[in-house]
Amino acid sequence: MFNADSELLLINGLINGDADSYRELVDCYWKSLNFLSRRMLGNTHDAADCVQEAFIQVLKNIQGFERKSSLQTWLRKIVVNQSLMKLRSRTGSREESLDAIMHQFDETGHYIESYEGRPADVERLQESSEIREIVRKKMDTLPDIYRATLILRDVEGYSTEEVARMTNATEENVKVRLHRARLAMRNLLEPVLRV
Amino acid sequence: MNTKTLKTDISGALTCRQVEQFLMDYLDWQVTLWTWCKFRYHLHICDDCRQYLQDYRNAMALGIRIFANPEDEAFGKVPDEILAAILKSTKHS
Repeated sequence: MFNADSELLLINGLINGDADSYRELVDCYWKSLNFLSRRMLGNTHDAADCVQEAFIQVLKNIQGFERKSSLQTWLRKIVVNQSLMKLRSRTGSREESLDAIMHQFDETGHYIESYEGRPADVERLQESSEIREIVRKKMDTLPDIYRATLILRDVEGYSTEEVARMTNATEENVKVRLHRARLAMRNLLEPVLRV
Repeated sequence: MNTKTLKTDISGALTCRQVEQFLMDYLDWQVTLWTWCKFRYHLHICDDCRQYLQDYRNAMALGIRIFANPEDEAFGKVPDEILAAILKSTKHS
Protein backbone atom coordinates (compact mmCIF):
# COMPACT_ATOMS: atom_id res chain seq x y z
CA MET A 1 0.00 0.00 0.00
CA PHE A 2 1.07 3.58 -0.56
CA ASN A 3 0.83 6.66 1.61
CA ALA A 4 -0.14 9.99 0.07
CA ASP A 5 3.46 10.93 -0.81
CA SER A 6 4.49 7.59 -2.26
CA GLU A 7 1.23 7.40 -4.20
CA LEU A 8 1.92 10.80 -5.74
CA LEU A 9 5.38 9.60 -6.78
CA LEU A 10 3.87 6.47 -8.25
CA ILE A 11 1.23 8.45 -10.17
CA ASN A 12 3.93 10.71 -11.58
CA GLY A 13 5.86 7.63 -12.64
CA LEU A 14 2.77 6.19 -14.32
CA ILE A 15 2.06 9.45 -16.12
CA ASN A 16 5.66 9.57 -17.34
CA GLY A 17 5.43 6.01 -18.68
CA ASP A 18 7.93 4.55 -16.23
CA ALA A 19 7.82 0.74 -16.59
CA ASP A 20 8.98 0.19 -12.99
CA SER A 21 6.02 2.22 -11.74
CA TYR A 22 3.65 0.09 -13.82
CA ARG A 23 5.13 -3.04 -12.27
CA GLU A 24 4.99 -1.56 -8.78
CA LEU A 25 1.31 -0.71 -9.20
CA VAL A 26 0.40 -4.17 -10.49
CA ASP A 27 2.52 -5.98 -7.88
CA CYS A 28 1.01 -3.99 -5.04
CA TYR A 29 -2.67 -4.39 -5.89
CA TRP A 30 -2.79 -7.62 -7.87
CA LYS A 31 -3.62 -9.84 -4.92
CA SER A 32 -6.31 -7.75 -3.25
CA LEU A 33 -8.04 -6.90 -6.55
CA ASN A 34 -8.03 -10.52 -7.64
CA PHE A 35 -9.47 -11.50 -4.31
CA LEU A 36 -12.27 -8.95 -4.71
CA SER A 37 -13.12 -10.01 -8.25
CA ARG A 38 -12.78 -13.71 -7.42
CA ARG A 39 -15.27 -13.29 -4.57
CA MET A 40 -17.75 -11.50 -6.81
CA LEU A 41 -17.42 -13.91 -9.73
CA GLY A 42 -16.72 -17.19 -7.95
CA ASN A 43 -14.20 -17.97 -10.68
CA THR A 44 -10.44 -17.37 -10.75
CA HIS A 45 -10.02 -17.15 -14.53
CA ASP A 46 -12.72 -14.50 -15.03
CA ALA A 47 -11.34 -12.57 -12.08
CA ALA A 48 -7.87 -12.37 -13.62
CA ASP A 49 -9.41 -11.01 -16.86
CA CYS A 50 -11.32 -8.32 -14.95
CA VAL A 51 -8.29 -7.24 -12.96
CA GLN A 52 -6.08 -7.14 -16.04
CA GLU A 53 -8.64 -4.94 -17.79
CA ALA A 54 -8.88 -2.67 -14.73
CA PHE A 55 -5.11 -2.11 -14.73
CA ILE A 56 -5.16 -1.36 -18.43
CA GLN A 57 -7.97 1.18 -17.94
CA VAL A 58 -6.14 2.87 -15.09
CA LEU A 59 -2.91 3.13 -17.04
CA LYS A 60 -4.72 4.49 -20.09
CA ASN A 61 -6.60 7.09 -18.04
CA ILE A 62 -4.00 7.97 -15.44
CA GLN A 63 -3.45 11.46 -16.91
CA GLY A 64 -7.07 12.31 -16.12
CA PHE A 65 -6.97 10.94 -12.57
CA GLU A 66 -8.10 13.82 -10.34
CA ARG A 67 -7.09 12.25 -7.00
CA LYS A 68 -10.55 12.74 -5.50
CA SER A 69 -10.02 9.27 -4.07
CA SER A 70 -6.94 7.09 -3.62
CA LEU A 71 -5.55 5.10 -6.51
CA GLN A 72 -6.63 1.94 -4.71
CA THR A 73 -10.25 3.12 -4.36
CA TRP A 74 -10.30 4.00 -8.06
CA LEU A 75 -8.86 0.61 -9.01
CA ARG A 76 -11.33 -1.26 -6.80
CA LYS A 77 -14.24 0.60 -8.33
CA ILE A 78 -13.09 -0.30 -11.85
CA VAL A 79 -12.64 -3.94 -10.82
CA VAL A 80 -16.15 -3.97 -9.34
CA ASN A 81 -17.58 -2.54 -12.57
CA GLN A 82 -15.62 -4.99 -14.71
CA SER A 83 -16.80 -7.88 -12.53
CA LEU A 84 -20.42 -6.74 -12.73
CA MET A 85 -20.15 -6.51 -16.53
CA LYS A 86 -18.82 -10.06 -16.56
CA LEU A 87 -21.71 -11.20 -14.36
CA ARG A 88 -24.24 -9.54 -16.65
CA SER A 89 -22.77 -11.21 -19.71
CA ARG A 90 -22.88 -14.51 -17.87
CA THR A 91 -26.42 -14.48 -16.51
CA GLY A 92 -28.27 -11.99 -18.68
CA SER A 93 -31.44 -10.85 -16.97
CA ARG A 94 -32.18 -14.18 -15.30
CA GLU A 95 -32.25 -14.06 -11.51
CA GLU A 96 -31.83 -17.41 -9.83
CA SER A 97 -33.94 -18.32 -6.83
CA LEU A 98 -32.67 -18.81 -3.29
CA ASP A 99 -35.77 -20.69 -2.17
CA ALA A 100 -33.97 -24.01 -1.83
CA ILE A 101 -31.64 -22.50 0.79
CA MET A 102 -34.35 -20.78 2.80
CA HIS A 103 -35.86 -22.11 6.00
CA GLN A 104 -39.18 -23.90 6.00
CA PHE A 105 -42.05 -22.84 8.24
CA ASP A 106 -45.22 -24.66 9.23
CA GLU A 107 -48.68 -23.37 8.34
CA THR A 108 -48.73 -21.13 11.43
CA GLY A 109 -45.49 -19.43 10.36
CA HIS A 110 -43.23 -21.11 12.91
CA TYR A 111 -40.07 -23.15 12.41
CA ILE A 112 -40.60 -26.79 11.53
CA GLU A 113 -37.37 -27.86 13.21
CA SER A 114 -35.87 -26.50 16.40
CA TYR A 115 -32.20 -25.59 16.75
CA GLU A 116 -29.67 -27.76 18.44
CA GLY A 117 -26.27 -26.95 19.84
CA ARG A 118 -24.87 -23.67 21.02
CA PRO A 119 -23.32 -20.87 18.97
CA ALA A 120 -19.67 -21.29 18.01
CA ASP A 121 -17.08 -18.61 18.75
CA VAL A 122 -16.62 -16.51 15.59
CA GLU A 123 -13.03 -15.59 16.51
CA ARG A 124 -12.12 -19.26 16.71
CA LEU A 125 -13.96 -20.13 13.53
CA GLN A 126 -12.10 -17.44 11.67
CA GLU A 127 -8.75 -18.79 12.81
CA SER A 128 -9.38 -22.18 11.20
CA SER A 129 -8.20 -22.37 7.56
CA GLU A 130 -10.60 -25.28 7.06
CA ILE A 131 -13.56 -23.15 8.16
CA ARG A 132 -12.40 -20.24 6.01
CA GLU A 133 -12.36 -22.57 3.03
CA ILE A 134 -15.86 -23.86 3.84
CA VAL A 135 -17.20 -20.30 4.11
CA ARG A 136 -15.67 -19.35 0.76
CA LYS A 137 -17.08 -22.41 -0.94
CA LYS A 138 -20.53 -21.78 0.51
CA MET A 139 -20.35 -18.20 -0.67
CA ASP A 140 -19.55 -19.40 -4.19
CA THR A 141 -22.79 -21.40 -4.24
CA LEU A 142 -24.91 -18.25 -3.92
CA PRO A 143 -26.44 -17.06 -7.18
CA ASP A 144 -24.22 -14.39 -8.80
CA ILE A 145 -26.29 -11.29 -8.15
CA TYR A 146 -26.84 -12.16 -4.49
CA ARG A 147 -23.16 -12.88 -3.95
CA ALA A 148 -22.17 -9.64 -5.66
CA THR A 149 -24.69 -7.62 -3.63
CA LEU A 150 -23.43 -9.13 -0.39
CA ILE A 151 -19.80 -8.38 -1.26
CA LEU A 152 -20.49 -4.83 -2.39
CA ARG A 153 -22.63 -3.88 0.64
CA ASP A 154 -21.16 -5.86 3.51
CA VAL A 155 -17.50 -6.24 2.52
CA GLU A 156 -16.74 -3.31 0.22
CA GLY A 157 -19.00 -0.98 2.18
CA TYR A 158 -20.82 0.65 -0.73
CA SER A 159 -24.17 2.24 0.16
CA THR A 160 -27.48 0.76 -0.98
CA GLU A 161 -27.82 3.67 -3.39
CA GLU A 162 -24.37 3.03 -4.90
CA VAL A 163 -25.02 -0.70 -5.27
CA ALA A 164 -28.37 0.05 -6.90
CA ARG A 165 -26.64 2.30 -9.43
CA MET A 166 -23.87 -0.23 -10.10
CA THR A 167 -26.23 -3.15 -10.57
CA ASN A 168 -28.98 -1.27 -12.44
CA ALA A 169 -31.49 -2.12 -9.73
CA THR A 170 -33.80 -0.16 -7.47
CA GLU A 171 -32.71 0.46 -3.88
CA GLU A 172 -35.60 -1.68 -2.68
CA ASN A 173 -34.38 -4.48 -4.91
CA VAL A 174 -30.87 -4.20 -3.47
CA LYS A 175 -32.25 -4.35 0.07
CA VAL A 176 -34.27 -7.46 -0.73
CA ARG A 177 -31.28 -9.15 -2.38
CA LEU A 178 -29.00 -8.25 0.51
CA HIS A 179 -31.46 -9.55 3.06
CA ARG A 180 -31.97 -12.81 1.20
CA ALA A 181 -28.24 -13.22 0.60
CA ARG A 182 -27.54 -12.75 4.32
CA LEU A 183 -30.25 -15.22 5.26
CA ALA A 184 -28.90 -17.69 2.72
CA MET A 185 -25.35 -17.34 4.07
CA ARG A 186 -26.65 -17.83 7.59
CA ASN A 187 -28.50 -20.95 6.52
CA LEU A 188 -25.59 -22.31 4.48
CA LEU A 189 -23.22 -21.76 7.40
CA GLU A 190 -25.54 -23.20 10.03
CA PRO A 191 -23.51 -26.42 10.37
CA VAL A 192 -20.35 -24.49 11.29
CA LEU A 193 -22.10 -21.85 13.40
CA ARG A 194 -23.38 -24.42 15.91
CA VAL A 195 -21.28 -26.71 18.12
CA MET B 1 -37.09 7.24 7.25
CA ASN B 2 -39.55 4.82 5.69
CA THR B 3 -40.44 2.52 8.59
CA LYS B 4 -42.68 -0.52 8.32
CA THR B 5 -45.53 -1.76 10.49
CA LEU B 6 -46.12 -5.49 10.20
CA LYS B 7 -49.61 -6.93 10.12
CA THR B 8 -50.19 -9.61 12.72
CA ASP B 9 -52.93 -12.03 13.64
CA ILE B 10 -55.56 -11.27 16.27
CA SER B 11 -53.13 -12.01 19.12
CA GLY B 12 -50.81 -9.27 17.84
CA ALA B 13 -47.81 -11.57 17.96
CA LEU B 14 -45.30 -11.95 15.15
CA THR B 15 -44.60 -15.36 13.65
CA CYS B 16 -41.10 -16.79 13.17
CA ARG B 17 -41.59 -16.35 9.42
CA GLN B 18 -42.26 -12.62 9.89
CA VAL B 19 -39.25 -12.28 12.15
CA GLU B 20 -37.03 -13.84 9.49
CA GLN B 21 -38.65 -11.89 6.68
CA PHE B 22 -38.16 -8.50 8.34
CA LEU B 23 -35.00 -9.20 10.33
CA MET B 24 -32.86 -6.73 8.39
CA ASP B 25 -35.46 -3.98 8.78
CA TYR B 26 -35.56 -4.67 12.51
CA LEU B 27 -31.75 -4.56 12.82
CA ASP B 28 -31.58 -1.38 10.70
CA TRP B 29 -34.37 0.32 12.69
CA GLN B 30 -36.55 0.41 9.60
CA VAL B 31 -39.67 -0.70 11.52
CA THR B 32 -42.04 1.37 13.60
CA LEU B 33 -41.54 1.41 17.37
CA TRP B 34 -44.67 -0.72 17.78
CA THR B 35 -43.33 -3.37 15.41
CA TRP B 36 -39.91 -3.17 17.05
CA CYS B 37 -41.56 -3.95 20.41
CA LYS B 38 -43.30 -6.94 18.84
CA PHE B 39 -39.92 -8.15 17.56
CA ARG B 40 -38.44 -7.79 21.04
CA TYR B 41 -41.34 -9.68 22.57
CA HIS B 42 -41.11 -12.47 20.02
CA LEU B 43 -37.36 -12.78 20.53
CA HIS B 44 -37.94 -12.89 24.28
CA ILE B 45 -40.31 -15.85 24.09
CA CYS B 46 -38.92 -17.75 21.07
CA ASP B 47 -35.67 -19.70 21.53
CA ASP B 48 -35.51 -20.60 17.84
CA CYS B 49 -35.63 -17.00 16.66
CA ARG B 50 -33.13 -15.87 19.28
CA GLN B 51 -30.72 -18.51 18.08
CA TYR B 52 -31.50 -17.70 14.47
CA LEU B 53 -30.67 -14.04 15.10
CA GLN B 54 -27.43 -14.94 16.84
CA ASP B 55 -26.39 -17.17 13.93
CA TYR B 56 -27.37 -14.44 11.46
CA ARG B 57 -25.10 -11.97 13.21
CA ASN B 58 -22.30 -14.52 13.51
CA ALA B 59 -22.58 -15.50 9.84
CA MET B 60 -22.29 -11.86 8.82
CA ALA B 61 -19.34 -11.25 11.13
CA LEU B 62 -17.56 -14.39 9.95
CA GLY B 63 -18.24 -13.68 6.28
CA ILE B 64 -17.08 -10.09 6.47
CA ARG B 65 -13.86 -11.03 8.28
CA ILE B 66 -13.04 -13.80 5.84
CA PHE B 67 -13.98 -11.89 2.70
CA ALA B 68 -12.09 -8.81 3.75
CA ASN B 69 -8.89 -10.78 4.16
CA PRO B 70 -7.16 -12.18 1.06
CA GLU B 71 -4.38 -13.92 2.98
CA ASP B 72 -5.28 -17.53 2.13
CA GLU B 73 -5.63 -17.08 -1.59
CA ALA B 74 -2.94 -18.07 -4.04
CA PHE B 75 -2.88 -14.72 -5.82
CA GLY B 76 0.55 -13.74 -4.55
CA LYS B 77 2.49 -13.30 -7.74
CA VAL B 78 1.31 -11.58 -10.88
CA PRO B 79 1.44 -14.10 -13.76
CA ASP B 80 4.12 -13.05 -16.25
CA GLU B 81 1.75 -13.14 -19.22
CA ILE B 82 -0.70 -10.80 -17.49
CA LEU B 83 2.00 -8.34 -16.52
CA ALA B 84 3.30 -8.47 -20.10
CA ALA B 85 -0.21 -7.83 -21.48
CA ILE B 86 -0.71 -4.85 -19.17
CA LEU B 87 2.68 -3.37 -20.04
CA LYS B 88 2.07 -3.97 -23.74
CA SER B 89 -1.26 -2.14 -23.58
CA THR B 90 0.46 1.01 -22.34
CA LYS B 91 2.73 1.08 -25.38
CA HIS B 92 -0.25 1.28 -27.73
CA SER B 93 -2.07 4.03 -25.85
